This record gives sequence, C-alpha cells and structure tokens, in this order.
Amino acid sequence: MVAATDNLARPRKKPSFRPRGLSAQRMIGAAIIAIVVALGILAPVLGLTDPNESSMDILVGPGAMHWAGTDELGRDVFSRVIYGARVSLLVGLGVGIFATVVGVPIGVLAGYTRGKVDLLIVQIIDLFVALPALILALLITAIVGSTAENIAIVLGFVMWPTTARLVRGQVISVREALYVEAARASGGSAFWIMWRHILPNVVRIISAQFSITVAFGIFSSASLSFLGLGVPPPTPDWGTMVREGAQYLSFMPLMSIAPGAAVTLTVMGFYLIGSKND
Amino acid sequence: MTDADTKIQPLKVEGGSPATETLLDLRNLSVRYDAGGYGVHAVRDVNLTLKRGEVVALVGESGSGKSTIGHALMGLLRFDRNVKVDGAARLVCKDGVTRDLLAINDREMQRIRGNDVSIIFQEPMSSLNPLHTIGHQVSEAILAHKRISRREARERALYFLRHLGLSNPAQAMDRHPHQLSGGMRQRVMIAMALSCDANLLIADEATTALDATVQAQIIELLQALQKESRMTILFITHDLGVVAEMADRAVVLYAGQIVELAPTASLFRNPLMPYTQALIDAIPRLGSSRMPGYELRGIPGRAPSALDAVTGCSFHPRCPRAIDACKTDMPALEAAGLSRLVRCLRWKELEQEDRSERAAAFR
Repeated sequence: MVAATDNLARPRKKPSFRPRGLSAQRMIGAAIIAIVVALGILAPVLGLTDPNESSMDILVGPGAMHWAGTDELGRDVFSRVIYGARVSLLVGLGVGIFATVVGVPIGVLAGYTRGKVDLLIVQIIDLFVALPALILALLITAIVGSTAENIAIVLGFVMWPTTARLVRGQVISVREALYVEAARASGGSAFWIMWRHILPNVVRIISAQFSITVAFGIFSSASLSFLGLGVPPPTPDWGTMVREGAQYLSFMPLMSIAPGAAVTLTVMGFYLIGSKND
Repeated sequence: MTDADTKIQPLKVEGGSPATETLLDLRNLSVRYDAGGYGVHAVRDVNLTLKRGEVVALVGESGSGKSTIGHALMGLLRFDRNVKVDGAARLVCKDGVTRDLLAINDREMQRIRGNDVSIIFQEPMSSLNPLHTIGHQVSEAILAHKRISRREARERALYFLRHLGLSNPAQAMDRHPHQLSGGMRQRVMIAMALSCDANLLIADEATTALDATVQAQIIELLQALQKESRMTILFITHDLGVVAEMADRAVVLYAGQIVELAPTASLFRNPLMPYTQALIDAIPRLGSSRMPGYELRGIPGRAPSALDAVTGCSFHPRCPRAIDACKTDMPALEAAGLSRLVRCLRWKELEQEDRSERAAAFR
C-alpha cells in the first residue's frame, strides 16, 4: 500500500476556563439571568411575605418591613416583584420555544428547497413582518383570552416568522458549502442533509435568536399586561404592577419602578446572551 | 440483510476482460446554464464511452466544461433550477441494470450517488463538514447505501481509512476535519468515495488544491487502488502531467466540445488538433531555461466565454494555423486513425506538414 507520510495534526489544546464564543457580554447576560431564574425558583423558600397577602399597611413607603413598600391593597411590592419573575420567565421561555419549534423547521425547509415552497413561505413571513407584532398579539389575545399559556402561544405565533427568516438566510449560505454537495454526492437524502449537515451549522444563530425571542416575549407580555391584557390577577405580574403603580407614581414611584426595572434587567440579560458580537 | 453485506469485503477484484465491457455510455450530453436571460452552453454534444477498468482523463482549460460533465454524471446539476441537461448517460449499475442517469428520478439518482458513481472533489479542505468527526462522516456515507449497523459501518470506515494509508486511522476516526492536513482530508474523501464500491469514480481535479508532494502521493494512491480494484476512473484535470501519468485515454475539451480524443501515449506523441499541440507546448520543461532558443509558449488570447457565439471552429481566434475556412465552417469530430478522434478542418494537412517538417529537421 502507499506509504502515508503526512501526520495527524496535533490535538487542540484543552479548552480554557472560558469557552470560545462566550464573550464578556454573554457572561454578564448569563449572570443576570441566572440570578433572576434562581430568585424565581427559590421565591417560596426565601422567607418573603406572601405576595398575595393583603395587610393594613396600604401604600406604605419602603422600610425595614417592606423593602419596596406596599401597594394599594397592602401587598409587599418587593415580594411581588420576585414572584413576578415566575410568570415572566415562563411566558418568555414559552414564546422562545414556540417560535423556535415552529420557525426553525420552516426556515430550514425554505432555505434548503428554494423554489415554490420557499416563495410561499417567504410571502407568509413578509406578511407577518409587515404587521406590527404587538398590535397583532393584542388583537389575538383579546379574542382568545389572556391566560399565561395563551399569551406565550400568541407571542410565539407572531415571532416565529422572524426566526424562520433568519434561519432561512443562514441555510441559504450553508447549503452552498462544498460539504453539502459532498454529502449529496455520497447519496444522502434531503432530510438527512438538512438534519445532519445544515441544522448543526445554524445552531449558533438559532440559540442567539432563541434568547432574543425570550427577551421579546418577556417585554411583550409585560406590555400586554400593562395594557390590561395580562395574566389575570392576583398572580404577580410585572406589567400589571407597572400599570397599577402608575396611578400612585407621584408619591409611590417604587411601585412602578421596581417591576419596571425587573423587566428591563431580565430583558437586557437575555439580549446580552443573544448578542452576536463576540 | 445478507451475510455478505455485514462482513467487510475487500475491494472488489473482478476477472474477465475488463477493457471491453462498456460501463458508461454518454450520448449527446449538452448542458445549458440560464444566466440572467443568456443561455450559456457549457457542454455541447459530448459523446464518450467508458469501458470497465479504464482511466479516462478529461482535459481542458477553466470553463471548458469538464467539471460540468462530472457534475452532470453525479446528478448534482439537478439541484440548480437554471441548468438544463440533455442527452443520455447510460450506466451499467451494480445490480446489472443499465440506467440513464439523466432520465431517472431524484430518488433513484440518490441511490446511484456514492453507490454506483462516486466523486472526489477538488477542495478537500471544505468537502468535509467541520462539525462531525471523520469516522462519523465516512460511516454515514456507508450507511447511506448499506443496510448494516452503525458499528459495522464504523468498522468498514476504519478499514477503508487504513487501506488508504492514513497514519493512525483509529485515532483519525475521532478527529474533526480541521485537525487533519489537506492530504489526509483528501484521503478521507477518497475513502468515502470508495466505501460503497462504486464502479465509476469521478476525480474532479482531485489533486489540484494539494501541494506537489501530496499530489504525487494521491496520484500514486489512486493508481494503486485502480490497479487493485479495476474500477473505472474519469479523471478531470487541467494538468497534463497527471494525464500522462494516470490515463489510458485522454479527452481534450475546448469550449464545451470534445476537440480530440486519443490513447494517452499517441496524444502526447502526436497531437493532431492545434489546441492540443499548444497545450503540450505550454508545459514547462525541466532545465528548459538553459536550452538555447527555447521559449515557453503560452496560448495567445483566452478561452472563449460560453456567452459569445463563435462561428466556425471555436478555437480559430487563437489558432496559429487557422485559415479562412476555420472562421465559417464548424469542423466535425472525425475519426483519425486507430481509436482517435479529432475536431479540426485541417488535421490531415497539418499532420502532413508536421511530418515533412520533422523529417527535414532530422535530415
């Protein structure tokens, strides 16, 4: 047999503490989200006041008893902000999962097959993108009713075209790669090529987009709540809290600012994770 | 699943008279690209027969249509809606059935790819998916056609990698493409191409992207494999050195047409078409710079873009021996002696001229 003279390249160095692609931005984002998630999950064991328990202390300012004061029903604002993370995160993740599960296969299919299927999908995507997402969500939520599940599905439904469009663009560039042609040449089926060769190469962008979709979901669900189409009371919800606090803004600003800051911080965390510049 | 399928089979060695049986019959192959309203005729009326166990080289400049022919045979042009392929390519498949590769449906073509015809691409650096290990990719190629278990496919993959002279094949199985050198990757690509015992291997500029030493190794390897398995190779290249080394017959393409077809030895000894002569003259020779009066001759002008329609012989604008008739009359592909074809109006005259010239020089 022919002698082999070329040698195997040396194995790569062990990965450093910070894996590649995890930029400072992403680290900060991940830290914020980790804290928010931990607080949301651990809320019942943190020894907080019951978020739904009314007391005689109505509209009391911040103090040792109530760190962020109480609302018009005498409920502890701080406790409600912490508990509010639960609904927000669940809705946000629901939106992300729905948009990804629907958008990614459609995007891959459109990008890989091109032709008529692609044309049809692109038209639908453009239709969605042309409509203002929040107004559409508002409309549908008003029709189907605002439970947490409904809100997640509705927001996911208005968000999947964005994911699909992004994935499609990436797939179009990946499908031209020589290894895709090589995979075809070795007799691979279209499904196998999409699954084994295309999808793994767009995972990065899918994960970034997932994170951004979650951020959108949290922000939009807060917006819906603020507009009165949120999760029904008494469940603590950031958007609803901002809305209720707005009436007392002049003398109890923390009632709106605390949940508002929670939304801002959480959304920022997810955006930082999804940020592309590393 | 039969028992024979599950065992690793040695590369096939077939008896009989290999050079007589037709494996592939290419009839009137034409390929048109639609480029923004313009039709580009990349391949025009190519007829070619490949015998079992034969190595045929397709030679030509960039844009002569040689790679397009390879891709057409693999059915890879189907993925581009702007390409129209005409003609017939009848291949004797492993199951004994002759199929027209240009007429069968996509599903059938998928079964042929890698199984009956396989291809090695020019760019080993980008022909492997960076995300999967070598072992995985070779096994996948095997699993695409053989109904065997994952473990058996891996064993078979390992067998082929070892057979192709990969140093430390067991280790290489778990490596990712970026950890291998170009030569190694090309060996992996060849392993993938051979792993299902295809009868026809298309080597599409398989050595072009490699450096000279590795190139020599790969050619040597392909020669050894060809001898051993008696597979048919269609060697697409622009390197005449490779042609001389590898091929039994050579086909010279110019502007999508066959302009000369000859057994390799006769082609180099006595090229009939002025284009072939010019190509051979354009090979630099070792020590030539010290030879008095020697000048490396290029071919003036450049290969015609398939967009501009050239009347007459497509080579006439660059041909040093063109006459007026060449500008208007399209030469046909004529038989020129034993198993030779040439497309030139003046080949007989020119052969006479050259012969007397040589004789004069000898005297």
